[in-house]
Amino acid sequence: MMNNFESLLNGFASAITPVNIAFGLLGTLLGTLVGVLPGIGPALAIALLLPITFTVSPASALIMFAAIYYGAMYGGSTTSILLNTPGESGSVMTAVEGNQMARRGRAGAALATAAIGSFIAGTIATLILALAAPSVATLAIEIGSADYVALMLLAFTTVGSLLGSSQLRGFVALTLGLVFGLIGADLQTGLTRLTFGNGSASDGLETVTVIVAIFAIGEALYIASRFKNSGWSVIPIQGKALMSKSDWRRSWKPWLRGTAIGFPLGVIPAGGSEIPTFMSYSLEKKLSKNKDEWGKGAIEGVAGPEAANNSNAAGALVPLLALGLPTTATAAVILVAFQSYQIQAGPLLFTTNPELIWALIASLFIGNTLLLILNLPLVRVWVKLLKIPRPYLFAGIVCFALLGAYALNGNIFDLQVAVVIGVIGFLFRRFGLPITPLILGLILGPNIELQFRRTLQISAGDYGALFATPLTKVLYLTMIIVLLAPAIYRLITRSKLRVKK
Amino acid sequence: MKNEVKSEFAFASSLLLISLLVLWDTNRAEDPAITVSVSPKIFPYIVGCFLLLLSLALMIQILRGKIATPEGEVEGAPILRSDFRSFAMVIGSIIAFVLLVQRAGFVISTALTFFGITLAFGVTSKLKSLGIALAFSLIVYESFTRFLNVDLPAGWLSFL
Repeated sequence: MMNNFESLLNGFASAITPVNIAFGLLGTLLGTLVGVLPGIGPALAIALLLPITFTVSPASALIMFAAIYYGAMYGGSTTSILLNTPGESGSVMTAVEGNQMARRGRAGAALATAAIGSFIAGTIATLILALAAPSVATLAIEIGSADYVALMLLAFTTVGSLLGSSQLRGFVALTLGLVFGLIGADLQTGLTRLTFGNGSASDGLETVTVIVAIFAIGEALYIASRFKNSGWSVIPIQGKALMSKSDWRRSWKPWLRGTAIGFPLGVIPAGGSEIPTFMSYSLEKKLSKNKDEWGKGAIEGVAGPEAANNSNAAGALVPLLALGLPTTATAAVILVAFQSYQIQAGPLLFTTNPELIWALIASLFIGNTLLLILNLPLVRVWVKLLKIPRPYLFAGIVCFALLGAYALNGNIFDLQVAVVIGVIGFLFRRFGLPITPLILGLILGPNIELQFRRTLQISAGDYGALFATPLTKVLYLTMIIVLLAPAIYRLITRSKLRVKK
Repeated sequence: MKNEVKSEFAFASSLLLISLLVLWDTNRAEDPAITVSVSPKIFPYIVGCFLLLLSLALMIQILRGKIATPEGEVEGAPILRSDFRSFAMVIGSIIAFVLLVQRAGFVISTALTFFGITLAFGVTSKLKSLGIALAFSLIVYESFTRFLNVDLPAGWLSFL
């Protein structure tokens, strides 16, 4: 077996073909575009592009999707700095100090520290990914079906607990996703579930339709009914997107600390980039010497969270590639792309499809570099996109979503599903339910049922087999801790208050 | 009860209904003829019961006054009222697409949907919007059918 470094070099060789570079470039542009525009994110963009998996080679398509994933984060930081409306959830913390910097005429420095920080974090984190993922995969080959059940349940628990306004709402979203995943004929026995006699429903709901509708149609309905009139005011950039010497001096440590926080929290399913970016922000604030600058545009508050955001995204690719376990909405859509090529993401990926996987990892380095080169000089072009009037922007998004839902199979049933799911997407936003758990439930639901049955088949119906291995015990214990953590935290703060009194 | 509480309670009740539907459908289905060690009904039962419990818990929480913070709004701020006229226009435009796409064809239905949504978002110049809608749907149709080999219905314009 070749060592990882050699494989990575081979990956570079296969990633640097004209076709793959073109797809990578297209991906970085599209990714930045959807990142810049508030309301659409990488998950929606990739879902809309999934039909290309019928015509494009796996390597090219996956390289493009990965580039969109990384590109959206660069674009997202631009929007949060200049607009104070985060383009995506990982940029919320960037908006706090970044927007203040922009208001004080330091937009250029804020954009530069965000882009360079993202580049450095992305590169370091991708390097760790290249070194760690194969080892994780080797370990994971030993993992049995019971362990998978436990792993998925743990992922459900963390994603359900940590996203959204409350644990309960996260779990409601997740369970509704599981219900959607049930619809259709059971693969093993052919029993149709929740189809109510509708023939078209027996194939199940198309994942693409659900994702496209819940993001695009749900968002359009929500914005139309509530925020139609609140416009965007973009802060103009003064001067060039450059950093002074003191900016560099103040930025490099937060970049590295952000990278260190983001990556591990991506690997363990911690529910996306909100937590690592928030942790990086609070850490930088705590370490800062001139605290009164915070809230008025401290560059550390942009550098740290941006780095954490990018390295978190690279970290999330570890469980996706090594275990076939997505932990973010975007990773879940990339998993669907793997499935449509009949490629099983998971521990065997590194032995069955080494060329593909190393080309993908190599393309992450290339994409990251392209993004740095493209972003800073082109930032004014991206900002112009924010001037597209909202009516046209949303009309375009919805029409593309309908096209995506229809073109997949050319039937009306998918469109009817899209309308219903779109309304559900609206209700989720209105009642504060997070969307990522729903998507994970929908995609992983059939998977967890399969592994659950496999476990019981092997054990001849003995439910004890679900908790038999040491790994399952550790995972279930962790799950209980995650479940109880909010309650324990509340108890501690309450008793502290009492002590003070 | 305040209006916000009422609407959210209705939402939680519909979740309860969905869970009952899952349980009812699972209960109704006949066990498959092939003998399998794990029935295909076990997992739906688990999911249905879980949703039942969660929706009940959500209802209790809402009645105790812990209501949601809608996305994009600050916690504690008075909740905006939904503008259901715009909502209806958007959903109407989308339903028009669903009804028309196989009859009138992709170009006409997409242009109509595009135009309808721009109206819902309060576009200032209707004529300009109609023009952009037509151009958008034509460009998308041509590029998808010609370059990406995606089959889209031509409909009433098939004589062109």
